[in-house]
Amino acid sequence: MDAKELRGIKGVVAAAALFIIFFGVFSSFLQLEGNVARGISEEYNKLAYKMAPNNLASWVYDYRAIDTLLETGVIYVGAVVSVLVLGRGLVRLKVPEEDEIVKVTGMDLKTETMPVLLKYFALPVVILLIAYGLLVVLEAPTSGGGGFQCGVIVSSAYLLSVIIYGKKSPFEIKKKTLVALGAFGWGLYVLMGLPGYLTTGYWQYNVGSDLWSWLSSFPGEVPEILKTVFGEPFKLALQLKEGVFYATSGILPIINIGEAFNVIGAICLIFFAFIYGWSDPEEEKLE
Amino acid sequence: MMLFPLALGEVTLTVVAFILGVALGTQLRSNLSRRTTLLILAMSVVAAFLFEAPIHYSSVLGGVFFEHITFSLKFISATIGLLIGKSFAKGGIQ
Amino acid sequence: MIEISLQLLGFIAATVLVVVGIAGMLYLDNLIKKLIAFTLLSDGVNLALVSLGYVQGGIVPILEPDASIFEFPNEAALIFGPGIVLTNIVIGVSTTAILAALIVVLYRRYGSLKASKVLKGDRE
Repeated sequence: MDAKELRGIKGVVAAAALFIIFFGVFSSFLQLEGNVARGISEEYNKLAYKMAPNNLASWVYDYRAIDTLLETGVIYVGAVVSVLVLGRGLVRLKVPEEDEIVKVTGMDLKTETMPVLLKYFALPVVILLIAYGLLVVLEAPTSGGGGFQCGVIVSSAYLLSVIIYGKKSPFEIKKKTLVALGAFGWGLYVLMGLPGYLTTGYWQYNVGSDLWSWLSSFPGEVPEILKTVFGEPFKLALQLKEGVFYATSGILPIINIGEAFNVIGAICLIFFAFIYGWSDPEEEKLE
Repeated sequence: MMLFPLALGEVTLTVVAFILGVALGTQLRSNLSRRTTLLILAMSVVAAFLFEAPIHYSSVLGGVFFEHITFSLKFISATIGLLIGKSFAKGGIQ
Repeated sequence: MIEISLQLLGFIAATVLVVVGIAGMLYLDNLIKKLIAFTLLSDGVNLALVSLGYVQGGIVPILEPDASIFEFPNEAALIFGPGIVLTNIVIGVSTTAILAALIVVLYRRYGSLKASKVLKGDRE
């Protein structure tokens, strides 16, 4: 249907339908509001207030890991499906004849005519963007960051680099590397459910990480200097009104790094498939 | 804000940022001039000042120098890691 | 009588976004415009979830130094909604990618982005 067809009675009916939808959706949103407990769940704060560095991590404690696992699965499936849809020769429902296929020319990217500002500042910006992505993923336990945000930032750096420099992109990742990154991230993520399963019986349960006690069981003692400098990894001190509490976010930082790798792989793969059509520049040379 | 004697895991993330930076930096293929490298480092220091250290960090090793002057050392170490990792990558464009 | 708060305004804006999204998906012919309308709809749902956690005079739900454990849960905004939104954004990105890929394939096949032509099976 085209918007131009909506004249006369059709338009009135369309507008009336939109009004009905508006009030239906609005009333359902308002009903949602009454059914939600206010504030942070007190239960979590009572159970886990000595452990959670922020309350994102507190409600997250038993829920976020499995939730984010599904998230990583979704993004990976999305990448794989769009690559399959766009890929050459992988999925063809019905082979169209040669003259029926619309020829799509690639993006015209000329680095010679690039403005000087872009030419000299794009690469520093790309490097700083990757560093920012790493910052976001590593501050995940104490802020609103996380693996997905890091993945999107790094893959936007990848897209920026590809769009500005074209095929001479300095941040060029081969598709095998991308697939490996995604698979490595997901694998790391799934395996991090194992410590929780072994200790509590629940998959992806967030267990505190006390690395030094693990290491001391190995032959050779950990030097005191290392313990002093590194403290306990991922452990933080919370200065609250009731006193100083020591908090560890457990396996969440490692889980977030795994998710970040997965999302970098998946989203760069989507961009890759849209830009190059699932064919490396090197493969084209061979052809 | 009191300074804790122990760096409670505040160094760990800086080291992890460095390692991840080296890992991702090996995918960068470009030759940077010394001036551009210095520019990137200076910009990363400025950005680290803007991002600040997280509120739960309280030691110099975590990036807190004074009460209102805090640097996000993770950002700087990630940038240095990227620059070092880039030098491992073979070949260069530009 | 419902008190006019920021939350209510958030719900109204979310509803407007959802309705605009539905209208765009129903009444527009261009597939790319349909995709944009779809993202608007998903943004509307996200906005509704975020404004669900609004607390009048509340604080940012991050434990700052010198906060109290026992007062904090009652003052801070609800974090559950934004948590769900994170998941929703991921799903939205995946869906958008797949839809865009489908649109590219349809364009290669039919040489047009009009839904009416695609449905009829016309080829240019």
